[in-house]
Order: sequence, then C-alpha cells, then structure tokens
Amino acid sequence: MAAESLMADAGAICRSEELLAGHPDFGDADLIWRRAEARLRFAVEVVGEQLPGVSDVLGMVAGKGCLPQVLRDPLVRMATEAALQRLALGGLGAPRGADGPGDLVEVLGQAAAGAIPGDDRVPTQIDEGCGLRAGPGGWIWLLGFPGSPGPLAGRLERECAENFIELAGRTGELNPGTKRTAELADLACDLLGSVLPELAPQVIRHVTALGMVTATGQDGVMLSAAGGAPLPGLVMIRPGQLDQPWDAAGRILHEALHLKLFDICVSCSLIANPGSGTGVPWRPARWDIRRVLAAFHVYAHLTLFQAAARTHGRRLAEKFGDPPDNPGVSSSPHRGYQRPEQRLRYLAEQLTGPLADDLTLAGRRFVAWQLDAIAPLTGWQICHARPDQPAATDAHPAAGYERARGIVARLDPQAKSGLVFNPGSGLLHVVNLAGWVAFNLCDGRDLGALRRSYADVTVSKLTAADSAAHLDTALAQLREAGLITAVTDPLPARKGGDTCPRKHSAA
Amino acid sequence: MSEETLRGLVEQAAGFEEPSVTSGSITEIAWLPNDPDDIDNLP
Repeated sequence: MAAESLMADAGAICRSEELLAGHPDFGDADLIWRRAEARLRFAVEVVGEQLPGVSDVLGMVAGKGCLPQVLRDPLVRMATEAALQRLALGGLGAPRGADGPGDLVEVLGQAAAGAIPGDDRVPTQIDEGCGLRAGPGGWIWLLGFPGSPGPLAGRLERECAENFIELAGRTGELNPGTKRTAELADLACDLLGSVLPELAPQVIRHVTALGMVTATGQDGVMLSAAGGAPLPGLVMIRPGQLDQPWDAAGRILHEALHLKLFDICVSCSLIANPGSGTGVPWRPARWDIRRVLAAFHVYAHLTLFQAAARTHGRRLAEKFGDPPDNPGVSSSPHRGYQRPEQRLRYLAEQLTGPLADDLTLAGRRFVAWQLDAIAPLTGWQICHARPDQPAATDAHPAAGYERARGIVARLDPQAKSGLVFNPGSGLLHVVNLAGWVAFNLCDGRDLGALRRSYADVTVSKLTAADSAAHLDTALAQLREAGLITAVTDPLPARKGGDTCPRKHSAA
Repeated sequence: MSEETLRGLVEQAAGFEEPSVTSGSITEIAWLPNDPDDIDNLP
C-alpha cells in the first residue's frame, strides 16, 4: 500500500492518537509502570525472604523515601530479574559474586546508599555523575560512560558492552554521551511531543536511559536497540542516527515502544506459545512471535507518526526541518516492505490469522486495540476473532479447588491485581482482577459453589454466561501455574473465603 | 479475602478484562538486545 493512500487528516490523527495513548492496560504509561513497579517491589520482598540483607536494605530505601527511583534503576531491575530466575532454577543458594545471589544484595545496597531523597535521578545515574539529560522534564538520562566510573556506573558500562556488542558477536564500542548528543536527543523528543502531544509522554516515560553505541555485525550496522528484559529501561542508538530530528524521533519512538511492551508484559501475559513465529519478507531470519508482536506494536505507532509528520511537518519545518520520506524506518532490500504500514499489514495478517491461537486472550485484545486505533488512518477492515470472550469449557479434572500450600499472595490495591509467588516452582505470577477473584474463591469448595460465588461477585460486570467462561479460563490458568490444587472432597460454599486445611490431590 | 471485599473491588474497577495469569517465565517477556530488529542491512 502506498503511503499516499493513507488518510492523514488532523481529525483522524487525533482520534488514533487518543486511542493509542489512553488504553488503561496498554497505553497509559503511569498505570503500566505502577503495575510493573508493584511487581518489582514484591519480587525484592520475596527474594528477601531467602537472601539475608535484602529486606533490611529495602526497608532503608523505603525509609529514605527513595523507593521509586531505586526500583527504576536499570541495575536494580536487572539484579532483581536475575534473582527471580535463580529462584525458578532452584534457589538462591549459590555463592556470592557477579550474577550470583549476592549480586542483588550488593547492587541494592549500593543503590540504597547512593539514592538521594527528593532527587528523581536513579542511583546509577547519580553514581555516574555526568549530568546529561534529555526529554520532557529531563526524564531521559544520557549515558556518559565516564573514564573513572563509580561501582554502579562501571557495572552498567560492562553490561552494555556485553549485551549490546559482545554477546551479539559484533565489533564496536560504546560512545560516551556529550552535550551535543543530549541536545539532539532533546530535540528529537521535542519533535515527538510536538507531532504527537498525547502519545509521546506515554511512550518516552518507559525510557530510563539512552546510550550511544557504534556496532557492526554480520547482519549489518546496528542502528538502535532496546534493552528489554536483560537491560530494562535502556535504549542504545548509533550516534549518527540522532542527526536528522525526524529520523531520530522515529527511532526513539521505536525503541521506547519496545521498552513499553516489556513493561506491559511483566504483568499481563500476551503470548500463549513462545515457540511460535513466522518469516517476514523484509528480513532474512525467521522471527519468533515475541518479535512479531513487538514489531507490530512499533509499526502501528510509526504509521501514526508518519501520518502526523505528513500532516504537521510543514508547520514544524522551521524548527525541525522538513520531514524526510519514511522517517525512522530502517531499510530493507525488499522494495514492497519499506514503509511502516506495509510491514504492519503483513504482521497484522499473521497475528490475526495463523498466529492468532499463539496469543493469549489479552494478546488478541492487544492486537485488536491497535488495529482499531489506526483504522481512522488505514481504513483497514482486518477481521479478528472476538478478543474479549474467553472460550467456555466445562472440562475440569476436579470436584473443587483450593489455593496451593505455601503460596505467598498479595493484592496490589492501586493496580487491582494480585501478586503471587509459588515457592514450589519458584515463579512469581501477576494475576489480574478476574483471576484474583477466582484465586480467592478457591477455598476447597466444590465447582458448583465456585460458579455461584464467582457469578455473584462479578454480577456488576459480567453476564451469567460470561461469568462461567471467565471462571473456567481463570481456573485453567491458575491450575497450570500451580497456584490452586484439586480437592477430592470439596466443602459447600463458605462466606469469608479463608483457606482451611484440606486433603490434596494432584491437579 | 472475603466475597464482600472481592465484590467491592469488582464494582470499583473501571473495567473487568478476561482472566490473565502471567507464566512467571522470563522467556515470555524477554526481548533480547542481541537480536537486533533495527539494522541497516542494505548491501
């Protein structure tokens, strides 16, 4: 599809932007981060139960009023995820040292010591001390990679070199940020905010730090990358990619969206079958479904960005120059897939077609939301399975359910979702409100009583049929995660819902 | 948590989406930085 065929009037752009920026689960940065932050805090507390020193440090950080900036620190997030992975692999019993369980104690301790009350900078940023910032309110920290870094800044530099260059088999180097690169990044963010004033802050908010890297591998020259799970909150970019403001804005938008998706996914499961994937015409390698979904997310937003650039570009040219053709999109030898809407259409057809069953219900809702949001621009009518209706099933291998023993569970009152740690598997789960209700009702009662209670509790939101379907979906997911177990001699319903000891059988 | 409390939570919620339980596995959420999605690979 040619770019010229896209409708790009200001009203359509506004409608698309509002829909993409305002979704409570997938658009609103504040809500998304609040859920991710609550999970991180719970994770540190769970690890602290087994790792001496962690709980004390966490208490000290909270006492200083520095919890938000400490939990946003990329190194604290890395160390916490690494500790969680060790728990899932069997425990925290390995010796101290880099990547060992002591890593979180050390990083958290250094972060706690370095955090300054009332200072919004994350501890590693304070440790680095270069003072380079960009974006609205100076939100984004420009990595300075100083010659004599402190312990946290030195560790972050090593992680960046290892993850973005060495592990990828590339040659290259990290480039210290400068006043000039900070100005260019700031200009790009300013442009993004001028073109898409509602959407830009909801995306930029997910970026903690921006670093410069010059790297080349067998695939080609790396233009930009996002840290995701290994390096949370980090965007890396080739320095020359900041020179053209429109391209720079598109590139920052692209990578920030990957970080946003990562923040969404820690508390909302989108992919049902991570082993799935497909080829794409504009790249030689097969993409796994995570990459397909992440690219779809990016190209939906870049389609809007380019439509807005075409509409508002002339008005903004005095400050930012004329927008180039196809800003912020990397090239491909395949001429039919140069533009974001061309790639988006292909990915949409995959995700609503052969890959649809490899997404969760929330994943299908995530795809449908974006297709609906950009429909004012594309006019596409891509059919997708109704995403909001769980498939009803009556098949239960049990007469009733109760919560598994030893489970540590807590409601996050702000996000209204449950945080649940299963010591049996070592896994930490986030359970949304529909799942949390089902989890709490599993007190050993029989299925009939469960159905009646679930319908009663959710009557303000669901029909009887939808309630039954929701409950079946919830029980299947909770059982699969080992958070509930089957009971063979269920009790009738009890008011109150507290667990009492029951006989157990394998679910 | 009692049924009364649960009912109150549901009534106060802005929405009520389908049940979701994350797998807890990093493989579900990992986006690997050494798997570049944005490269210039034109000859």
